[in-house]
Amino acid sequence: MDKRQFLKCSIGALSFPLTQTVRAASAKPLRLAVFPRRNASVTYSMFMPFTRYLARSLERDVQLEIFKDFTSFWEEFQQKQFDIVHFNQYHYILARHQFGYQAIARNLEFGSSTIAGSIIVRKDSGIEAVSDLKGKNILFGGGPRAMQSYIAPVWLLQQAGLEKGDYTERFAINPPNAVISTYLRRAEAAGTGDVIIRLEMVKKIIDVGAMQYLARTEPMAHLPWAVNPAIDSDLKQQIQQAMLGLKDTPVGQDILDSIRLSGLVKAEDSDYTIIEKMVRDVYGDDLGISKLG
Amino acid sequence: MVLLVSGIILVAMLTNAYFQFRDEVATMEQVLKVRAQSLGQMLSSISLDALLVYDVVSLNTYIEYLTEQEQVVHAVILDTHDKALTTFMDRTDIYVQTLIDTRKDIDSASIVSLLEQNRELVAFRVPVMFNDVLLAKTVLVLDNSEYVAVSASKFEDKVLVTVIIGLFVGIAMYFIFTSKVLTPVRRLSDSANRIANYEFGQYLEVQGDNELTDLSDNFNQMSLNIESLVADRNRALEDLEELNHDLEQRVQERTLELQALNVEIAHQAMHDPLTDLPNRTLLVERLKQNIELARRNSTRVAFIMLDLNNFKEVNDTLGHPEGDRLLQTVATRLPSALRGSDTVGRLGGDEFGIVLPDVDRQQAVDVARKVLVSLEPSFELGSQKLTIGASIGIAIYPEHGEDDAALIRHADVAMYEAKRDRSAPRLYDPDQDHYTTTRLALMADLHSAVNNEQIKLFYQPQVELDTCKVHAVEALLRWHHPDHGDIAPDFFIPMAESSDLIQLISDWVLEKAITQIADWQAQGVDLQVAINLSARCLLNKSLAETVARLCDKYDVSPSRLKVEITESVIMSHPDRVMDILDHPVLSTLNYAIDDFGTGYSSLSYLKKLPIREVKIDKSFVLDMADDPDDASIVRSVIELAHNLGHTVVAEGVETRQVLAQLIALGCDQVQGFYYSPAVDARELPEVIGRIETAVDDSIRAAVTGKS
Repeated sequence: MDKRQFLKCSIGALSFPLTQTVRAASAKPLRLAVFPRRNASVTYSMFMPFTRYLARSLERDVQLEIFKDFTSFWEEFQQKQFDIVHFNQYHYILARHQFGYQAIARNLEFGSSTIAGSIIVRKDSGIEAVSDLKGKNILFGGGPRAMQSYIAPVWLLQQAGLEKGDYTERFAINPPNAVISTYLRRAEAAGTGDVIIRLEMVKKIIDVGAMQYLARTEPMAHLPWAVNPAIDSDLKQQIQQAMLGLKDTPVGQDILDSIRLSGLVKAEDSDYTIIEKMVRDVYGDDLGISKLG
Repeated sequence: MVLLVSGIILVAMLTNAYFQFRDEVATMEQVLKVRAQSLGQMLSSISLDALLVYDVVSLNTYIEYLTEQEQVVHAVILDTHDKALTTFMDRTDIYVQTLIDTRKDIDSASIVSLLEQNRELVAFRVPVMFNDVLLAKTVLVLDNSEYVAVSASKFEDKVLVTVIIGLFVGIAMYFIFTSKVLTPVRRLSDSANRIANYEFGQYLEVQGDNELTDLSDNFNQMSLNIESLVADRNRALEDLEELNHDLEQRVQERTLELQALNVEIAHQAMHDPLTDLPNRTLLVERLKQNIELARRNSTRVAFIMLDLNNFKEVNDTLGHPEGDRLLQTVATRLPSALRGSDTVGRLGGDEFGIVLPDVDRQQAVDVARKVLVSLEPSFELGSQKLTIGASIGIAIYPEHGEDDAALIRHADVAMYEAKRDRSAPRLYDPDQDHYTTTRLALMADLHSAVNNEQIKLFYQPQVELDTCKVHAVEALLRWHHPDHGDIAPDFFIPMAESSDLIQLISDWVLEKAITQIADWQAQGVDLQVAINLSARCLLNKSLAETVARLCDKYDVSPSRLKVEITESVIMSHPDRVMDILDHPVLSTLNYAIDDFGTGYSSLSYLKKLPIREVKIDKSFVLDMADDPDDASIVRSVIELAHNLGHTVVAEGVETRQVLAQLIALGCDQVQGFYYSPAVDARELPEVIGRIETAVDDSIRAAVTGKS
């Protein structure tokens, strides 16, 4: 970088916050919360460009909120009810029911805006059916609030007639580790989203050819982006537009790369009806609020 | 030697380097172990959370991080069943890549066991504990080979340096050793070789101030000493050679001397050492030869035995040296009377033998007379002139004997006949052979005669002319041989004196006389007894003790005993006689000078002697009536004796005429056949009584007139 370019960047860098500040001086910053799908530092580095993009697009401050775990995320969400929130499906359903959040977009990962929950086993495990998992250790890639990594696999187990207690629940720190650990025979099955074994990081670590889906759900709407019902519709639309428009520009592509998405597609609450049914099947009509808090 | 020392140094240094290398390797292994343990513990500690939440990705990340550390080849976390909990394998590591390439489906757990088979790799295991429960274990495989290789390389460098240093030191030592030690030692060795080959004169010069210098100085000194010793040795060898030569000469001389000595010894074995005449052995041998010759040739052989008369007196009077001279002179005279074929030899003592081959009786007698004639000239012995006669006996082969022993014996008998008769040479006459035994046999008889009382003491009265009384008697020996009858004392006493018998006889005479005195005293007869002791017995140191013992034993006063000592004995042993006369015991005896006139008395000595009686030898008394010389001698002796205050006793009074003469001359006492021969002790009192009562008037008048 020569002197001139550096100077430009510096001025730009300095002017941006100034602009934002000016703008911000006129409106409250929007709070963008991202659920702790990944760890905090990764989440931050992934979504800061997106946050800045939104801020530019909305011409207002956007503050990125990140969380170390699901518990702290939900607790803060309940307290602060952030403006824009990237949920997993379960939390979206709860947020919708408890606070009236509205889905405006959903992830497009690996070119798909749907995702399925699955139970994955080793091919050489001798487990042919979900019912074979009775008495086995099942390693879930997420906690009890994780849609693909817990609720969906549990729903699959229920469909196979296995209730809680018929198997042993283990929880990995994240879905890839559940699959990797299952590959390493730390558990007989992994409960996780079906896309996990297609992840490069997983492929690098294990021989995914040694794994197979024991069961999968029907594709369901991918991870949603929802807004606080207090957001006015214009802003809501702007936000939506900004999200949906990412794929249209190179900068947007970069941002999408940063957040590891193929894109963001339009989402509506009705897209998650099936998921809600699944949750009710697993947790009951209270959607597990009494159980999970 | 240098190589050895260098080798030792090299080996020492290499060993040191090796041990250093080994210590380094051990240290590195220890460091490795510590590092592995710390890494393992670190991994264990950070892996715990990830293990609990099945965070394989994080665990892999940790593993990947670890494998990036130096020396870490592979790391894995294993569950309690040794199943891998991590999947990371560092494909950049050659060991791991090789295993992955060669084995399909290898996992991170099996890699450990395979890597452990590699000696260059070491696996360390650290447990992962959770609430004191083993949750898993971390395994690290570390590669120390690089460091070992580095150490080995360093070791190689050290070895190289060591070798170089060793070589340098070896070479330096070699040069130093060569110049400082080896060269000097070689020079020492060369010098030693030269010395060994007796090459002297070259000395070492070793520079410096060290032990080698001292050694070379000492060596040089030693060389000088050896040179000196060798020189001495050479001189000694020369001297030895000279001595050897002298010795050889001496040996030759001695050999000759020995040969001469042998000849001399052989000569002496056969010759008399005194006279150099053939001795008895040779003489007998010659006699035998001549007898054999005579036997073969039917000729005669005469054997003459010659005995010198009164030789004993000469020996006693003048001493043995003069006696020997006499014999030697006789030995020189005898051959003059003989033929060349005759043999004269000394038989022993004063006896000579002559072998006359091929002679008859008359010729033998003639030769014997010639022999006597040869002895007639006086012999000069010192200042004395003597005439010596000889008694000769002749025995003729074969009539007087057919062997040497018979001839000698018979010649001996004949000689003794001649001696007894004082006659001319006597031929052996078997009819007159009163003594058929040899003198040795007679000597044996004499010995037994003493023990068997064949010898007796007879007593001859000594009559005092003044009183016609007998106050003393002389004890005289008589031997009555059971076979030969009475044997004269003149015969057997000389025989006894030639042996130890005389001492036996003298002791017997002494004791006999003393016991007889005691017996007479017991009978009331008080007589003094005169005895004759040979010079040998008189001079015997035990005489005093014997006299004292016997006088004490028989309670006899020593004054009752009178010892008659011949004049010749006194004169031949004056000092000894004086000692006897001064002896506390012997001085109590009485003494008389016997056979006075026959010796060579010193009047001044006679004056000193405490002897107060002189006995005139009978040879002067016997014929004094007819021989004026004898009468003159007797008179002179009486006068001399009286002048010296001595009493005179005349022996051999056999006639009245002689008695009268003696009375006229004033003789004090007489002894002889006129009054009585020697008689037995039992007869003596009667004899004495007869003597004392039977003195005739003429004698009495003569005595009275005289007085």
